Amino acid sequence: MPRRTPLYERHKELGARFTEFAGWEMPVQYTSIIEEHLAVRNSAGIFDVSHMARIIVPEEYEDVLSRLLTNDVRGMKNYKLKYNLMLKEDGTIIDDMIVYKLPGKFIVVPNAGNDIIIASWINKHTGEDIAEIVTEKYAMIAVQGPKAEDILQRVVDYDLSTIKFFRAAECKLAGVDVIVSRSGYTGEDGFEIIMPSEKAVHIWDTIMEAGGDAIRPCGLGARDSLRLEMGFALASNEFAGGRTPLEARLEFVIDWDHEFIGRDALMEKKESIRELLMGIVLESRAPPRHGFEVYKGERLIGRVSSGGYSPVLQRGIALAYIEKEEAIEGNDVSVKIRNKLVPGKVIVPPFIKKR
Amino acid sequence: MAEYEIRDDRLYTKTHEWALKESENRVRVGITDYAVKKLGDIIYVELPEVGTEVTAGSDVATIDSVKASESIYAPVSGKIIETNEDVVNDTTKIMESPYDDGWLFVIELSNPEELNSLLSPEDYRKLIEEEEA
Repeated sequence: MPRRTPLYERHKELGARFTEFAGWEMPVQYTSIIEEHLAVRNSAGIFDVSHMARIIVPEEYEDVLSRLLTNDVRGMKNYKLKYNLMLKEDGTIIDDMIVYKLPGKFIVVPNAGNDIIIASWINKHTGEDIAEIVTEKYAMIAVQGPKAEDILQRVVDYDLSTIKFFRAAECKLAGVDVIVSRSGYTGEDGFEIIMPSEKAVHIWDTIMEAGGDAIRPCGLGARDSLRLEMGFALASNEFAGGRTPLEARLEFVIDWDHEFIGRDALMEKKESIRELLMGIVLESRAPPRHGFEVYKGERLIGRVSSGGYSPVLQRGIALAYIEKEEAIEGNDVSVKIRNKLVPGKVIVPPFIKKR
Repeated sequence: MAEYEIRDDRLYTKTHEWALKESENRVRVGITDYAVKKLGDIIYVELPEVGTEVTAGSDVATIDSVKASESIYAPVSGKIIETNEDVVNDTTKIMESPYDDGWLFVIELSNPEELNSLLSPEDYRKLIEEEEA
């Protein structure tokens, strides 16, 4: 049996079509992925992201936690968020995650289905059973898009304009204690809300009602196409098969000035990286898919890790690991789609510019 | 169960193509309303070249939706004698009008007997009911 979020019945009532993702039965779309995608770019969308894992780590374990993460989380101020990677000793990525610092604790939010892997890794290194998985205890909703703040402001008792990007606040939403952060996975302004599971339906309905015609429910389909347009990594695609942050061009997530697992391996691999994660914009609307081959002339130079259709550019777009020597902005390459070489250009993501 | 339009004037395949007999040896081919609704947003269509010889059940065209790429199979054997360039330029035609403006290609049959092995509208309705069950 796949896991279901507390909003499952609500999605069903809204006419969602479901898909299984990382062990969860999630809405993939309600009406149209493209319409949902554009609603987020132009107005607002609401997403059930309760499938993301949530793990609480007590503050006193910050030294250990910091050693497990590429970004230093020691001394993080309360109500701040940091994007992070967890690496193996060989420098390859186990997962990416957002770390929230709240009074007395961290909330670690890795990818869906990774609760046990990440919690076990933390416990293994602390030598104690301290990482508490709260994925089922709390639900998570994202409200994303240029109108997200305006809509959410109508239902919270807190001045959202004071919450900067990657900051959070504890406040009341429709009478419920929640954690609101200015963060997301779409490239748009927006918020993510953590709430007790039993209040998820009430909060979803409250936000939907406040948003009226300006907000629409969005499924995993739009979530994927939105993140792809921004060039954001999806762990199960971009990190599959053992990729380092150097290849994934995620060096900005690394704080070299602190000790962390995988650091030595990364230092060693720095000069010997052979492939880089780049964007490719095709001349055609044909969507490249995961695993498709990338060519320079007749020569195979890499493979697509994530591909799809960009509703904004109305072109096929891809994230692909390609030979470092060919990873040059503007390079003319092609992607093999059903035995045809479809021309495109290499870019440094994002595919669309935001603010 | 959601309602799917099935036209009584044509024949169907298990892979959700329709074939409309236009003369003794010509059929117009497209995909069904059910197929369109399962695919979601269609963004790209690749059609065979006019003149291509096809055999019944062979993979002759592709439709990409945001979610997936799906093959379109020839319902019958013969030669592609016409393709709908309008849907290549505007894939929304397939979604909005799968049985009319959204047709994909015309086949000149090499063996008109093959039409007997296609599904009747009633059989196709049963197939969908089974798939939806």
